[in-house]
Formats: sequence, C-alpha cells, structure tokens
Amino acid sequence: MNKRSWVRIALLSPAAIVAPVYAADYLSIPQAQELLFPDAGTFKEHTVLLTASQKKQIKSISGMSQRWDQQRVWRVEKAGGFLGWFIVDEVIGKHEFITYAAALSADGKVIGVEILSYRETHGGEVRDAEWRGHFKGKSLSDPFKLEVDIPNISGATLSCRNITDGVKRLLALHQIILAHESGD
Amino acid sequence: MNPVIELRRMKPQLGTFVEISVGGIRRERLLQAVSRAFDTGALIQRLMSFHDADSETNSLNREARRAPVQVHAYTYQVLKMAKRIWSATGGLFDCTVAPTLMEWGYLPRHLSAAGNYGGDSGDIELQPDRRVRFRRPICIDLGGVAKGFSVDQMVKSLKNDGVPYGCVNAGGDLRFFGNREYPLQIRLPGAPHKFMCVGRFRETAVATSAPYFSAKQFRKRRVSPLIHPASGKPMIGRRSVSLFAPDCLIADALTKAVILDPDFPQPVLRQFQASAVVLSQSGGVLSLNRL
Repeated sequence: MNKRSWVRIALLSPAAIVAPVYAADYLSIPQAQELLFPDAGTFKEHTVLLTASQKKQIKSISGMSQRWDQQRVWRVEKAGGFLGWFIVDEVIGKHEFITYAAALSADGKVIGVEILSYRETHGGEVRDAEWRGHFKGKSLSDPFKLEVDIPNISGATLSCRNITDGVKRLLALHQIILAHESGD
Repeated sequence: MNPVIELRRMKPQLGTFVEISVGGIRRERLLQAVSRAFDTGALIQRLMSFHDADSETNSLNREARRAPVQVHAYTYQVLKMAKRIWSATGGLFDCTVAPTLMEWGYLPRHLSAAGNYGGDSGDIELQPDRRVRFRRPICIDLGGVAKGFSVDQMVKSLKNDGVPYGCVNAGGDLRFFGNREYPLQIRLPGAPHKFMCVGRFRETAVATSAPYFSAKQFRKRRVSPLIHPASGKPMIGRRSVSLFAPDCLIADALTKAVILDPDFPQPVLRQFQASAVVLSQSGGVLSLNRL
C-alpha cells in the first residue's frame, strides 16, 4: 500500500468528514433491458393490476407480502417470438430502499437481476411516504450521469436477502398471472 | 481529481450487494468486461455458498469426512488460503465455526447443527489433484473469505479484459485497482449509516468487520456471527476493524481475526503486508497499525 496515504489518515481528525446517507443510481430501465435481454426486439410495457385474492395467493406461494396493487412488467419479444418478462420492482430492507429489475425466461426462470437504484437510510424514514415520494419523483427511464465523486464505503456486510425475497415474490406473480398471458 | 467512472453496476451476489465501478475505455468494452466479472462472481457463489445445498462447500460438508472430494481450482485455492490464515492467526480465523452459526440462525441447517462436530481448519486435508478430505468431523463455511476472494477474481477478470482502473465492492469488502487514487469512507460503528473519510488509496483492498448489522438476540442472549473459535463466544462490542492489504481475501480473513483480539500481533499483519484501522463507536481511531 501507498505509505503516503497513511500520513494523510493520521492528519485527519476522527469523524472530521461525515458523508450523508448513501444513494446511487446504476442503470436506467432501457439500459437494464438491454443488459438482461441483449437479443430482444421489443419490450411491450403493461401494468399488472392485482386483486386482493391474487395478492393473497402471492403471499401464500412465496411467503412474501405483495404491498402494492400494480406491478410494471414488460413482455419481451424478438421477431414475434416470446422471450420472457422484464419486471421492475422495489424492496424495502432494514437499512435500504432498492429498485431493481428482474428478467424471467418464457418458462418462468430467473435469467438475471440488476440493481437500478439503491438508497440507504437511517432506518426510520424508509416507511415515510414523503421520503418515498421524493425518491419516486426520479424518472428511471431518463438517462442520468454518474457523479464523479463516488463514495467507496467499507463496512460490515449488508445482506441482500430482501432482493432474494423480492424475486421469490415475482416468481409467484409469474406463476399466478404472467404464465397465463404467455400465449398472447 | 477523482477518477472518472464511466460505468457502475450492482448485482445481488454472494449474499450481499456487489458493485463494480470502472472507467478508462469505451463503454461497450466496459459493459462486456463487467458482465464477465459478474459471471466470475456468480461461479464463485455457486461453488462456495453455504446457503445453496448443492454448492461444493456443502458437498464437502456431506462427503469429505468419508472420502476425498475433488473440487474446483477456486475452492481449492480458497481452502489453501483459509488454512494458511488459520495457522498464522493462531486459530482466530477459522472457517469451521459453521455449527454455531447454524444454531444461532445465521446459516441454514442443511446438516444437523447439533452433529458431533469436533475439529478445526487444521483438519482440512488438501491432497493432490484438488482433492479434499476432512480428518475429523467438521462443517465449513467459506463466507468469511469467499467475498474477498471473489473481489480479487473479479478484479483479475476486469484487468484481463483491458479495464485500466476501477473498484469492486462486495458489500463493504472492496478493492481499488489501476493507477488512480480513490477516496475511501468507513462506516461509523455507532451510526453505520454515516461514514468517515479516511483518505485516498490506490491498488489496495479493504475489508471491515463489525457486528452493527448482524448482532441480534438469540434465546435472551446477544449474539453475532463473529465467533471466537476457542471460547465459542460472539463479539458484540461496538468497534469495527478495517483491514488494508494487497488483496481482498487476506483483508477479509484477517479482519475477522483482528476484531476478536484487540492485541493482535503486528508481525502477523506485516507478514501479510496488512494494516488495521480500529474505530470506536463514535468513530474515534482506536489504533492504527502502520506498515
């Protein structure tokens, strides 16, 4: 390691610089679509509306609560052939609020997952409607620039269990709704 | 000036969020290189995950006591390093505390947590042709090194694909590569959503251990997955240990040993070209071991 860096450490007073809560955007929806389905021709968006009984079914299959009544999904095709589904979803963890995209194959297998946006929180405000509204105001389909000054943070590991659980929920949604739409 | 990062992607991998930030060449090439690096991470996850019952880790746990099991070169390499660090740290880093982790609910119970386990990393016998045998009944979990190893292999893959500089961060265990300096922040142990800037670094790996995200109650007792192999006791203090080393596997493994022993011997760190920064609850620097 560079010895000079250590001198700089010693010169800093402890806790001199405290950065705000971490937030980062990784990919726009079109960018994630291209990465997860590089061969796709078209992405047809539609919003799945869920009834109370369907939400109950999702919970009983996956063990996860479907909190919202609508889910944005894209039917992915190439030259009329059906490739699978692209779904944008959100999960709330103990410390983070995440928007991610999942790609499911035509037969309902997970092809891949990409994080679109990651917001870290103090814990409390994650359920705060106003805070969430602020986050939602950001259009994910807009192209965005990366900040030049990226905080590289070392710390104890955060679990990605909430994403694993979110994907389980999407697979249940596929099973009870999307699987029956495949032949459209 | 900070390096210009032209592409950043994050995926859930190895039980955490893995972020790759790169720059310096055309975006199309960066995209390809990053996808390949993530493929490497996915392979390492399939081989070493304890959560996946079909991983090589769990094949070893089921079969290596009875007969040698041939493993992938990656798994063999990780086991070799895990043994080396176990030996150098006087047993403080030990990948055989899995039975306690299962009992406390940190790992799934593929095998009986209450099985007749007895032994340590010294009982992992590495034979020729990448075959592995357990001399005594042990249960291994490579979670303490697989993330660091994966970061190293992903960096290797990115470099092989011509990426000149960047950073791979596997949920807090990270490595900077290339001829660029990066600002580094460490979470404050007493308020982990806040970060302290500790300086700028290049060609360095950093891993941090602390119980702030993982400590919990288990049968009226405070526990964490940072378990002292000799006493079986969990580390539940409020300090954090960040280990700086040339590669991330070493940093990842050594940080677990140093957090268990506040008087960890300096010569051992030097042997691995490593240095430790210990932060108190409020972010005070408790100790700073220089190279």
